[in-house]
Amino acid sequence: MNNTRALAGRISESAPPRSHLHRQRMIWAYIFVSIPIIGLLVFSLIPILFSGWVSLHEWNMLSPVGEMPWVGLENYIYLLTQDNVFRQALVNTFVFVIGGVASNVVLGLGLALLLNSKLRGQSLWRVLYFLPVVTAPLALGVIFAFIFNRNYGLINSILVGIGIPRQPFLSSPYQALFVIILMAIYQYVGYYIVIFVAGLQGIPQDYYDAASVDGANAWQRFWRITLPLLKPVMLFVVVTNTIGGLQVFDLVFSSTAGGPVNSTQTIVLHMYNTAFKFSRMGRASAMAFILFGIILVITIIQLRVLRDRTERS
Amino acid sequence: MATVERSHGNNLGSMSLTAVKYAVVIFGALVMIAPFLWMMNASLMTSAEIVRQPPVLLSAEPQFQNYPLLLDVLPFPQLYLNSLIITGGTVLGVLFTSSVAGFAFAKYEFPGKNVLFYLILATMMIPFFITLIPVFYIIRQLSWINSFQGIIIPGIFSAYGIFLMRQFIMTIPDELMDAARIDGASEPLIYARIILPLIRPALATLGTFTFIGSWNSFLWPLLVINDRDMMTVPLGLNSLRLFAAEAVNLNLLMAGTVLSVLPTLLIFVFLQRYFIRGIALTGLKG
Amino acid sequence: MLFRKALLLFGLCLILALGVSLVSAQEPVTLRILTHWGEESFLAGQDALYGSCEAQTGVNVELEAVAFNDLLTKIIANQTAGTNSDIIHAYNLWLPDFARSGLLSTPPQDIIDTISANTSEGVVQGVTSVGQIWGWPTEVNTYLLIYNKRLLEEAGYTEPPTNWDELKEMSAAISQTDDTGAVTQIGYGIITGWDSGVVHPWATLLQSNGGQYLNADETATAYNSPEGLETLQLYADLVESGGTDMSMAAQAEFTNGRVGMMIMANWWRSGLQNAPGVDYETEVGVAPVPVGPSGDETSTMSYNWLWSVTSTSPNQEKAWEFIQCINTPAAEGEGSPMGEYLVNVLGAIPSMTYDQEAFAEDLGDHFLAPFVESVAYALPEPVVAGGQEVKTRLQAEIEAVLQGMQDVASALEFASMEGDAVLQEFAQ
Repeated sequence: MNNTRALAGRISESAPPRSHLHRQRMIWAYIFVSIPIIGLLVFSLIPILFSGWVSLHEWNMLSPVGEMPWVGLENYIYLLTQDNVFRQALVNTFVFVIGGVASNVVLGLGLALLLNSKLRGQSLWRVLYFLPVVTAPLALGVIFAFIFNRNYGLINSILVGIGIPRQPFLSSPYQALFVIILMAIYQYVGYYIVIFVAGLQGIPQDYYDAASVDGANAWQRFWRITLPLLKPVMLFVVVTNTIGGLQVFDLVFSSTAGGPVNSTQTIVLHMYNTAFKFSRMGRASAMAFILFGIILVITIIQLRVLRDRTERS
Repeated sequence: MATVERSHGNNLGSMSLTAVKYAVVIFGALVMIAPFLWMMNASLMTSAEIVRQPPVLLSAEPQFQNYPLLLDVLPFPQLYLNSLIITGGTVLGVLFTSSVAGFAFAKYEFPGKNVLFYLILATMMIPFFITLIPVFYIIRQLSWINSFQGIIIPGIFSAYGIFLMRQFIMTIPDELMDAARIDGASEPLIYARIILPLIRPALATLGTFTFIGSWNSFLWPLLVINDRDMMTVPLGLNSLRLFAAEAVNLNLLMAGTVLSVLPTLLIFVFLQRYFIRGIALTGLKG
Repeated sequence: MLFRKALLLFGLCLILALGVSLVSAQEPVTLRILTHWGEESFLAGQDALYGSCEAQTGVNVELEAVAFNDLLTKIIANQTAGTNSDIIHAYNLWLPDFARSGLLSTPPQDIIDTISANTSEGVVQGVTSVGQIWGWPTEVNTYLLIYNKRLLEEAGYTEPPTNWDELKEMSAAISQTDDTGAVTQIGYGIITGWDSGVVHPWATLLQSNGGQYLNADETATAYNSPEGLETLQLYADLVESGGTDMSMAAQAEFTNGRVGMMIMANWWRSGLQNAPGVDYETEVGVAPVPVGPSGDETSTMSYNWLWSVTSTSPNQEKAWEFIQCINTPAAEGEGSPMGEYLVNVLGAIPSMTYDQEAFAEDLGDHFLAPFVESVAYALPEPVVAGGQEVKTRLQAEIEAVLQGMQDVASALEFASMEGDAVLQEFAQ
């Protein structure tokens, strides 16, 4: 829970000091909080705790819960020592997250800087860049299959046109994952552009004016003003993108279904298959908790690293 | 990074820089809309034209009848209505629960506050599949199978939403609330009269994201709904696919996808101004 | 005064209650049916199918139709919540799990007798698990060689291949690449990315080469055999010679008219009838699976769908009565309503021999006739716990060979090792 505490702590630093606590206000606060708390308790926390319990059992989801055989840590041990597909899914998911996060940060910020630099037709550009965000993953899967087709896809026509041999892309176990990453960038970069643009607009113009008076060039202004002041937004983008990326499912499910030869298999896709295709809910639940641990650790590391950099600058 | 705005320098240089900027932005936009255009274009082709080799750029004759044909196969008005009810309910629910809780977490001190808040955030880190079966069981205990509330209610408690709202409400000065208290306003009244109007941009942001997610959600409605009259747009589109997920009538599938995307797109076009301000003011800024 | 009013009210309530109970006594039992016949075109005829027996057996059908991919998830979710439909339409590979978990009720003896007497041996085996028939078989699917007559003729062949040498030769001859390096058509299409689509056709080739998928008592895999090695080598050879190419999505490209031959099941018929690039009537041919070097005769693998009644249904008796009704011909020599639906709406092969006979004319279609014939000699896909997992693991190894990532011998060895472990685990 440390990461969330850190995240929360960082942001509450800027909060104004609290006034004296009145008993009545406290009661109201509990009433306000109770509505979603009860909801999350019923629809999230209890199910999660139940899954934790299931992860120590063998359960095909068809036989009664009371009759699940207890297997202890067997599911966890199997996943960590014997499940080759899980190992492959871990690697793929990490590659996906690293590629996706890096690209979304660079592309999202770059395009946001452009869009924010007093170009005409801001809303038009924003809408156009946001189009893929609202497009259903199912449709994107079909479209990408056509565009990246080895034999009549647009991309390969261009490659051949400039003298590069045809690439198999989605039908190759060595290239498919990269096309999936491209799909992810394509679908979500608009969302990050919007967030970065918003962050940029939050930086007061006076800072830039002052720096210009001091003779700083555009490059220096970017490094000394834009980037440091954008750190919290960057943190938000990196953290949420990582949490989302580690749980990638739709994108793969609707395009390659994990193939060819498990080369685009992801943790959550493997989890889904283990649960709903092989009816091994215990093992799938164990996978969820391993993933939870991974997300927790990575989030903590990200918060540490990004916070250190902020302090140094 | 050569594109970062430069406020001085010679005119010719800044003009050519502007030209480069436009070129990059236009190129990027073309790339972003190309697949979308492809989809619109394919929805006006015959199935044979879509898969022809080499690819056909434009249909010999635009197949506008694909749309009436699709409406014959799928009751789109009914699908829209169902999806709108579910999505509308979910959006309103998320906005309410998130803003109320965000308000409490941002503006009150009470024992257990931090523990509760971290617990909420931690729920974001578990994939929802794993809770699918238990949540379904709970829905059944509530007799909500095959009902709209069975889809809406489990979806209206959003950790992300609470987090976003908390960050935003924290930027609102306490003085506003104190002034209202002196005037005798009760806490719920402060929420309704002071907080809600001030967080409209954040509500627009959260509303749009929730709308997109809820509009496209597939697996949960599939499990909860048995009645075909209650089908949502994604469920309807799915029935255009064959047995082994092989798409027949690609042109109809594309026409259906175009129709399914339109509402979300309209929502974004209308709300995006709020939206940008929404994020800009969420307290994410330095 | 007050008393009179109360009495009047009481009397009114009594009359009302009586009326309600009378009405409800006549109200038919509601049966919920969960099926994968969820595509728009398949929904159309189902009202007629159920209508005839609804009145006769006094039931009211509530249909829940989903796509095949979502059916198992739906059954599982319903079962956990204790809200399963009265009748579920199941793929026979799920039977061991369903039977072990007490999901299904056993059919009455007269129904079991009717099924045993009127279906082929393979079908009976297909709907049997742990020695018990679990439901009424609906459609049966087998795999045969489906080919594009036009592409074969263009390459100079008038007849489909009957053995693997011919298959390889013809595949290589049909494949074409244009001067930019694009594969424009392939001789033989291999489905990838879908476990049954990969393993079923491969297993039919294995069986036609004298091999077996699982051993006789279904406790271990049997595909890691000399026959199995030859079968997987056939795939490797096809890739090597260009007879097949992984960049061509076999199913889609066949319907686009760019694949010469592939092994597929008869349920694909409606897809082929709508195919944009190949004419169902004049260009689609069907032939027995070519025989391998170690095989004596052609073989195929079949699988079944069946209608079962859940053990949680409060109306089990009614449900079986209803199932029997729609599967029973109105008169001698006629077909059943289910048979008629399967043949005329779905274009599928009914499992009951009386339906196959009654609708012989409709099933005599150039595409379906060979499939109907093959039901008699088809070996059913083994109905065994863990079967889905064994299949998925073999699928990955077959695809690894097709992609050149793994050699034939180690792929089969690895797949059989993994498959055996799964089967052993479930046997305990």
